Amino acid sequence: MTTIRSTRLSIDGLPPAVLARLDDLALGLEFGQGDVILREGSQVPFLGLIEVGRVALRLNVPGRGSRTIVTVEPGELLGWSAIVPPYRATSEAVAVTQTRLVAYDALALRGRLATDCELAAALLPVVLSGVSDRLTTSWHQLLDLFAQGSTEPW
Amino acid sequence: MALDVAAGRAGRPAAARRPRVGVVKLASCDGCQLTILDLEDHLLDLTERFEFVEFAEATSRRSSGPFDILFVEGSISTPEQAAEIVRLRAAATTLVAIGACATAGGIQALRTAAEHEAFRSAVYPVPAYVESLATATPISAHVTVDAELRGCPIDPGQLLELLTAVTTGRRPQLPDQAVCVECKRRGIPCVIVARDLPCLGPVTRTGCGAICPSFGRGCYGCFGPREGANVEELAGDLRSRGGRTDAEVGRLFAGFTGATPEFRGVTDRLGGRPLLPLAPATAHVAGEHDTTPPAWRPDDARQ
Amino acid sequence: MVIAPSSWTSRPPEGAPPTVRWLPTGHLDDLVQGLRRQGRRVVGPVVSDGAIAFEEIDSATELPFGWTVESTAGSVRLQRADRDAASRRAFDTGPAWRGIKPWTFPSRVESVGFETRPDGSVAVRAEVAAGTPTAIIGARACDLAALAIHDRVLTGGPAVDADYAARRSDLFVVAVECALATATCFCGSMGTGPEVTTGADIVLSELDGGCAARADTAAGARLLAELALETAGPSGAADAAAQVAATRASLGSGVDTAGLPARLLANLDHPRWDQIAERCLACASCTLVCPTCFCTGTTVSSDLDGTASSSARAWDSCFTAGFAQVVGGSFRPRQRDRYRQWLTHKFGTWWDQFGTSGCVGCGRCVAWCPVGIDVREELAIIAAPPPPPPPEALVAVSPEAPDVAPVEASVATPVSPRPGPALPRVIALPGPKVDAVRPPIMLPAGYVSAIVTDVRPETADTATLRIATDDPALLAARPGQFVMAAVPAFAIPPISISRIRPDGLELTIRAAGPATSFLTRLRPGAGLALRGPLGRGWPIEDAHGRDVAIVAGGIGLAPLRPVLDAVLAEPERFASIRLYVGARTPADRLFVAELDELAARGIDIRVTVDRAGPEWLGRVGIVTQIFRGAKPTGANVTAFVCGPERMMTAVADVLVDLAVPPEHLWLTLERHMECGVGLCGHCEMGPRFVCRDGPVLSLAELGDDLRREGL
Repeated sequence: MTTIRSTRLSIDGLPPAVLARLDDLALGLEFGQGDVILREGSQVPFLGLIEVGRVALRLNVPGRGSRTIVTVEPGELLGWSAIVPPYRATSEAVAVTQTRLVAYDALALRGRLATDCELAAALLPVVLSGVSDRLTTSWHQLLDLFAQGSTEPW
Repeated sequence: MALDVAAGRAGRPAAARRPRVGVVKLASCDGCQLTILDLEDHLLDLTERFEFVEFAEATSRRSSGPFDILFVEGSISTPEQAAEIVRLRAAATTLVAIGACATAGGIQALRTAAEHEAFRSAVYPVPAYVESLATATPISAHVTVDAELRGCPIDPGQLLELLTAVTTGRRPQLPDQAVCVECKRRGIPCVIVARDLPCLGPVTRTGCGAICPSFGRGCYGCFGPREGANVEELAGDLRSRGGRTDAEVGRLFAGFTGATPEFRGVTDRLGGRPLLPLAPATAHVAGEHDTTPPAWRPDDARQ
Repeated sequence: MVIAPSSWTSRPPEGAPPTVRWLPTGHLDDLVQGLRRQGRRVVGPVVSDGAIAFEEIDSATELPFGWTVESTAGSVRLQRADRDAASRRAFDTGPAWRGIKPWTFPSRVESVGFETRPDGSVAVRAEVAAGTPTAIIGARACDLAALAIHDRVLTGGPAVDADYAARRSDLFVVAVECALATATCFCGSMGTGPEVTTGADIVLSELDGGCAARADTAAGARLLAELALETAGPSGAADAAAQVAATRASLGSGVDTAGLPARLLANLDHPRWDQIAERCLACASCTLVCPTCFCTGTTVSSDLDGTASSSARAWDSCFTAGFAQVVGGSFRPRQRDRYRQWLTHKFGTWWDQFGTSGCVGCGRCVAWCPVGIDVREELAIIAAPPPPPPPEALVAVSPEAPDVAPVEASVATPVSPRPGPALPRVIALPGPKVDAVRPPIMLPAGYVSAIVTDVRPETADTATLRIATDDPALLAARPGQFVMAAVPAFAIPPISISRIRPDGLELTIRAAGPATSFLTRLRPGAGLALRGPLGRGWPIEDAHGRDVAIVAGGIGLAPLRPVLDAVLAEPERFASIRLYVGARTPADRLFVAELDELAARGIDIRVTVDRAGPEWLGRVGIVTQIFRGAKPTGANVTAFVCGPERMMTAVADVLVDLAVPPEHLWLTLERHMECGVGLCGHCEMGPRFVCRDGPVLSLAELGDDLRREGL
């Protein structure tokens, strides 16, 4: 673990100055390929911002094994449940390549958001946007657009 | 539709055995079976292509299966038939229901919405001899059906199209359009517009070649409702023309495919179903095992 | 066959106004026999099955003497005319129920045949029967206006219906100016009648005791001269003029055509569509009695072996369920979609396509609708004229301002001036490019035999066929074009070209139905027949000097592969190249080895899949997500997008947000295509024939239509 400067980081929609206000909460984490970063249902210890690598969010179905729902890449958030009750991971997160991320401690971040309205106003839309993307992705996947249709003229 | 019996030409060696074909009947009149025999010009070709192992109207050869293709005529009207269709389904790779009885219940399905006992008593002198269900239902109400040929009787052209589709591996072209399309193509002026005749053509699936309008009468819907059939609007139109009563219009829909939900809905709402008096038509009491048939009486004697 | 469209349009002989001659009723048969002596079959109105229909006649006595017709919405009654024997008339009956269309555009025509020869190759038979010399007697102004429209539709574009052209090439027309306007007639408001102004060789006006006859063509004049008729005299000509004027005056309510296309298309969401859908039986009768409706469907019949088959084109209708069917469903699932398609095409987008209205005001759709839906009423409600603008605004609007550039009419002159003024329109139509040099495509001809030389499985259900051909047209295919791929006994699917080679084509086909399954199971050496290349391809030149973003979803990568080929063939012409690929699962990816090789060469290729197991270390998610790491941003991007329509709209949203200009954002649409050249009508989407005007269209061209349900 290393201390980080936010100047290295960028995330769509969040001014660097705001991100810099979280520097004191930031820790650098590294994971090897196959490392489990979050376990489904467990308390999420941090909100992460991926710097390098690729993380698969997976769900396990007994008898059917593990399915990757979506992968998360640099510039995207990991572990939004850190600031959304009940603070449990909604999926398993596994590093599919060597991955480095910046992690903001969940408890401290929640405390900060409760008191720093400006930070909250800047950060929450960014987090929501990430959640919205995951939702949209899931909807499109539900549509199964590339699947064979049931009726066809030819 | 699982019609890939022959798997098409591409994957199939020329010397493959002929598909085993069966033609069986349940509650029906045999008219659809006879339509198969009407394919006179093609019968030799067909017997070269298919081995007919069961076809009571054509051969004394009998088989209980297995069948590559099984054509089933008739509806399920008795407990025996309900059991038989399950056995037949298990014996058939592809099951094709043929005709209005097998695909919609047929004319006998009128009893589905009526008093079954009254019908039995009215029709049979000794109802106890007749074991029948209170309903007459299409094959698809009992087992999975791979394809349906509609009509009373089926259209020989559609039958040939289905068989050709099976041998070539393509999809049979069974159009789901109104009979009106065929009338216009054939040049038969609309009998509703030009003569106020009652015609179910606008809500009925074509396939018959508009045979009834071509003889100057309205379609009686034997191919059953087509996709998106706007039966309510047609019923309203037929009612407003020629001063027909609700019951008269309702009765138009209570024909060979009158048990289909679309058509039955009209009759349920407007009336016109041919109901029979509840009292038995004869003095014979059910269960008395009297073997002497009663004297035949014309219809009006029951009224 | 030589087509000389110019000879079809009637022109009065040069010089003095035509002499009006008098043809006594008793000598009407001289006209019929004169035409028969020319070796023509003569077709005229007769009483048949309780209606008036055009049928072949041997003598004028078969004409409907003494009959008249009363026609209202949903009711047509043949009646005895109230005239005494001396003034008995033959043409007192209004429009015949199917008009003359069955004789120029029959309800069913054998089109093309295929046969697998013993060596495995596929032979093509596309003979068009020579037209039988025909004369039609008794055609009305509405019939001729419709004929002019059919000339434009079926022979005036880049593709020609050869059967129609053959029937049309030697057609002699004796027209009748109507003495009777039924309650369903509204030719006057559509500018097509009741006067006969075009399309006839001889024009009759039936008066008491005979007909005033004038010749409008040299052929007509010759025939009239042969009959040695006396001139009608000034009173005959005046009576004829007075009669047709009286007919015009007796026409009932009509259609307000001023600005109608724009008014109609501005009301695509009008609640009235739903109300009509409740009444409409979708029986298709209106379209099938319409003299201008030209949509056809193809049916295939084959022998039991499936070695030989023939296709026929038959009248079809946009009201039927299968009409707009593609893999996965119908583009017009609801009844309201189908009625809206018909009405907006007939009165609106027809202008964009053919420079005329599609309606001639004959009223057949009104009369022969079993439930009596009247287009005049529906148009008045749906396309209610906007409140009158302040007087000064009127000055600013040109009365003939066209919404789009009028298509150059090569055959028929528009039957009436374009209704104006026009409201602003969202839609921009590229318009068919009529190549002056290239001869028109003659349907059903155009199929060439070709041989499969290699088959490469791509996924469990998709294979790439390499096909050898030396057909110069096919070899000149452009990226994004498609072919119709025919094998005997099967419906003929449109297949996009996935590679253009010096010696042939590659087609990447997914087994979605029986025909495509059969195609994917072909083996090297097998034959098939191809017609093409068809459609407007990807405008590669639009990307010169620009950042190229190629975005593919599923099988949509196939028509984009030629783009990649073209761009990589001369990379120096493009600022940058990026490929974004979405697939259902890792196993459903196409051209995997090829793309891996390109990636190894440094091409930026990003792949994502919808679903994957833990063994997949690549991206999972939808294709728009992979933009994030490498955004195709800014005005210098040209994007080529192909995939399911839902995916393309999502991609378009993201790209527009990234400031990619809509005119540089190219999509390719999927629609039901049977002819591939804009003649069968199945693939219509608003004013476009997707097969001919697309399938590649820019977002700017598509506008709101891309998202409109049921268009």
